[in-house]
Amino acid sequence: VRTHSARQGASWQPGWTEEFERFYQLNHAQVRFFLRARCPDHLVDDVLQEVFSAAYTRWGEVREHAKPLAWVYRVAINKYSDAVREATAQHKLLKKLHDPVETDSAHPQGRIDSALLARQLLGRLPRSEAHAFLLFHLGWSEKETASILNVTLHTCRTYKKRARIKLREAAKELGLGDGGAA
Amino acid sequence: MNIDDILRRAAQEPAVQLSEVEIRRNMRLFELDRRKSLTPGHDPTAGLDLGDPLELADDEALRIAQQAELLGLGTFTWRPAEDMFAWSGRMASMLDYLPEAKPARRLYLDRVHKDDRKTVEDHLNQASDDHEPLAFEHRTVRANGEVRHLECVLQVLLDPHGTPTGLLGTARDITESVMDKRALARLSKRLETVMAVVGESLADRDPHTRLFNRRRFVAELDREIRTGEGTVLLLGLEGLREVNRQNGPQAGDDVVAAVAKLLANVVRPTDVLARIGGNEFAVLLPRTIAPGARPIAERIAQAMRTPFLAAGQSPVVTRIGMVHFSGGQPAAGEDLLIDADQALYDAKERSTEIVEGLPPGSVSAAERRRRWRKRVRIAIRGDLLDLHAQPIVDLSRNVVTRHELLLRLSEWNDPITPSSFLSTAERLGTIVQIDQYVIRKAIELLVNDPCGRHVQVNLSGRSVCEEGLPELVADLLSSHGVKPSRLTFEITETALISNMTAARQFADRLHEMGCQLALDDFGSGYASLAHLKYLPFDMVKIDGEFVAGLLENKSDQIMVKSIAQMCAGLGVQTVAEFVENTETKAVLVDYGVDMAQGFAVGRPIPISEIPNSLEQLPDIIRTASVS
Repeated sequence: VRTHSARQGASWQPGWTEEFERFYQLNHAQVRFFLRARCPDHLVDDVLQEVFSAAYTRWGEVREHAKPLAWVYRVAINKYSDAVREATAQHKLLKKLHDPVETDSAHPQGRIDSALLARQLLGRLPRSEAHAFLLFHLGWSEKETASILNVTLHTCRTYKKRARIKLREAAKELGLGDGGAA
Repeated sequence: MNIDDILRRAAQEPAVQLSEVEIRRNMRLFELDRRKSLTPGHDPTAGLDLGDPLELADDEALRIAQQAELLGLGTFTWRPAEDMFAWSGRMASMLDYLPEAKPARRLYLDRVHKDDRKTVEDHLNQASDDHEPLAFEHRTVRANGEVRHLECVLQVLLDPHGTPTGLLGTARDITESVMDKRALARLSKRLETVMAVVGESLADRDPHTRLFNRRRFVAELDREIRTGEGTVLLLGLEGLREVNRQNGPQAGDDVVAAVAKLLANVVRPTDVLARIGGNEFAVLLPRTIAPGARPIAERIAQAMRTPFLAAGQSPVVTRIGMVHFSGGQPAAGEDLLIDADQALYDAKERSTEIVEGLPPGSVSAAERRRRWRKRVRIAIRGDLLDLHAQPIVDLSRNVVTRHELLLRLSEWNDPITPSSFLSTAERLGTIVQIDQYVIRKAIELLVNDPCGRHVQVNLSGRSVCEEGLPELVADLLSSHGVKPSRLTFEITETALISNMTAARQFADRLHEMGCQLALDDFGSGYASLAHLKYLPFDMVKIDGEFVAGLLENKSDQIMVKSIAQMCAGLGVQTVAEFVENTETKAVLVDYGVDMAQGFAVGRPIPISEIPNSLEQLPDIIRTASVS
């Protein structure tokens, strides 16, 4: 574990700002999509801002990672949990507002409908299972997903398997055929 | 369509994409944060694990334990085959054991609350037997008896060949979170209960004089009509405008309070006294008809000749409309009040002190409606309806950014709060014309406003159910080139209750158009929380009853604070009404209320006198204390 106190005191180098801006531009939407699936919008924006700000501040260290985005996901998941705990009262009320989302779920034609439906489906899963399924969907391997979520490989596989079963059931309920979850 | 398709489409949703401008702006913010972090003690990244999550440790248990330690979680491992149980120092502390205590499954279970012990044992056995991860919550009891709540996740440990060797548990202390949830549940329940109970009694009283209000008076009248005969006296005060003009607005309020006190002394103990409008009082004389009622009316008129102000100042004149009713009829208190109002109208027209209305049953409903339509028409066409504007201050900026438009009726060259007039108009279906008149005037006001301020307009329950109103609003806004976001419609809870479906449709249509919606008099009616959940309100106006006594009343403080917190969580702005002093304003700022309205901010003024620039108010005293 390399914490802040043990970090190498890398001073800011020319070109890092532009490099991080490209990283941010490329990955922001994906991380936002990931968080939005299980988190009220106002928390998502706060968490995103904090996480990318932290990544920028520590870019000297984070850029050295094989995949800096993995670090962003891990911090985002931890920050999200903190934010939810701090905002328990608000979250509970907001959850009521977000449930259930009215949509023509049988035939989600447009992008907005798909976003609502994705939220509705993933909202039925425990957070850890939804995160495991989403990271896999976003192209991370099982090993990487396990590391980001800080669970064992076996747990990660189980979460993914459970998510798939539950999503399939949910899809059937919503009239999406067998759901075809990959 | 399968789930992968849905997720793929959702990931491309435009809402998750940032524009170039947003990216640049955020980069500037990141740079500011980075510079701040260079100052010792101001680094928000302190304590973060900066290691690469993908640099996999060979030992999964070690990796997870290290991360858990960093996140403040306790960990334990259990390998049944080896009869081995171990825990981290943090876990020992969570279970209230000394670091040197030898870990054991039995010791762990000893600390689990007795009611949860079997469940925890079952979960441990199930995860171990089924080789499946599990999550659950349980309580622990510390040595001193303190109960804490833990959230545990059990994961299966495998050897290099994939054979399960035991369980790894992580535990998070969630006591604060559980307490918060419970407190919130309790608060919501209490808020609803208190509002229902308090709202019932408050809803019956005029806040200024504490006399019965129109609603309660009508209820009393209905009961009396069913059981016996009697008389209704309707008293109208004239001259209040001049009093206000000469002596300031407080003088008018003082006169109203003095009249209430005097009337309470003049009427009999069995009579029912109420303030049913800004300058209107009503007296119900049960079991008293023509021969006996007249002397009582005259005695009241005589008492009302008492000069309420010092010599030389304008007198306040009282007119009385009187109607009798006979018993055993269907309840029609509102109709009777309308007839009494007509008699009062005649008294004003004839400059007579007392006028007796027509005998009961002689006025048909159609005739009553015809007369009222005529009166409303005259009021609108004759410009007898004046619009006044009361400022609303944005407490975060201390600037007046909005005005609520209030109607004043000048039928007798003496603008009054026409609540009685409006109640009758609503009952007889003529209120929609009045609401439309106000909307037109509001939009005209916005066209001519140089500083882009915002106005709020009250809507009656009838208008809420009026089908063409949203289209009318849309046409007016579009033809005048006014942004819909500058107009807020205030709707009372009572208006919503009468037809929830129509209210929902109405609210949705106005909201789609871009206008804002405010829930007026929040807390004084019923089912307020449900309204907040189901209708797209942008703003809640906290009923003045909770605000007027805020500095002294602990219950009011708790309720206003809770409403502010709840609304903040829901993304709904709050406005406190009846803010009468700067100390109250300061308390509202502390509670997180967004805006304030009341005499401490400004009294209603004719719309022609609205300043041409946004008003900055004097600084709020932020150190005010409450009892």
